[in-house]
Amino acid sequence: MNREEEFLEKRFGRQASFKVPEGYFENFASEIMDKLPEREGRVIKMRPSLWRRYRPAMLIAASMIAAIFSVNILLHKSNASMPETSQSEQVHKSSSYSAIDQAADYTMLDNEEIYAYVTEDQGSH
Amino acid sequence: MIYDENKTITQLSDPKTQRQAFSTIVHQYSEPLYWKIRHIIMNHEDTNDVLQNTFIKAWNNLDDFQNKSKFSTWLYRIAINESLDFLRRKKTSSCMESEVDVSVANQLMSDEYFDGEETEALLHDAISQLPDVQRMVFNLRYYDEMKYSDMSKMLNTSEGALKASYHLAVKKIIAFFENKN
Repeated sequence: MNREEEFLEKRFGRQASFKVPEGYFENFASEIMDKLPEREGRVIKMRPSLWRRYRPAMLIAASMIAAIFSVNILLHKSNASMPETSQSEQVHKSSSYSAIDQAADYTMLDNEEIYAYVTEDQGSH
Repeated sequence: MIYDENKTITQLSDPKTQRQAFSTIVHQYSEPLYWKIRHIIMNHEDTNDVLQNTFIKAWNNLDDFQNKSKFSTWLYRIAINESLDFLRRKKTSSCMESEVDVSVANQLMSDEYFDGEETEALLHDAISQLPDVQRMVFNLRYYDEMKYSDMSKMLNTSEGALKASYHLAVKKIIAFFENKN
């Protein structure tokens, strides 16, 4: 708390001196419930959070990306022992960039959606 | 009876139990919501109207609640928007009708539902002169001691901006009293 806030607290306290008519809160609920209109009898879908909704797709995407990376690492290791010319050909053919792009296309996720999931996930902790 | 939010939300989604669940929500939140609104609006009658509108709006728009945030956060957001709308309407109508400008302090001193002293009435006068957002942030922080993180979710504003608003509000209130002296 800074000096100015301390001044306000000492001079005025943090309780406002507002009052309500007697029995106000006791009667409020029944009064407002009487005023509510009838709703159409339809079931409201309480949607689960985005992360929960798309968790299966996210898990599939994560496994695919992990698998692609593992294959690339294995290929890279095995190519390391090959002659220089064939190694460059191999790298060109199995460009990891295009593989990741394919994976991303498959999951149909764009950056904005990924940020949304990450934010959602952080918010739930 | 202990309030179980998850159970109440589940009941809200079923037309058969919806009304009963909403009644539980009204019982649970009418008092805390009332005080939040009262700090902004100050007058009991107007606060009562805004509180009723808040619950009616929530009831009519239950389909919009998507369970992304707590139900209370959603309700508080409606209450704050309703309060701000009320203040805007009041400002517009008093400009159009060129009402006699009675200070908030004087209004409070003659209000039967205010039993504070004149210095406190002056504090509410100072708060009422703040811009809407600063007034909102000041009330939530000073009277409710609400965390900036919770306020951020409720008002959809960054914590940094809220801290800056609060700091400015405190400065302006202090300046108000310095000018009075």
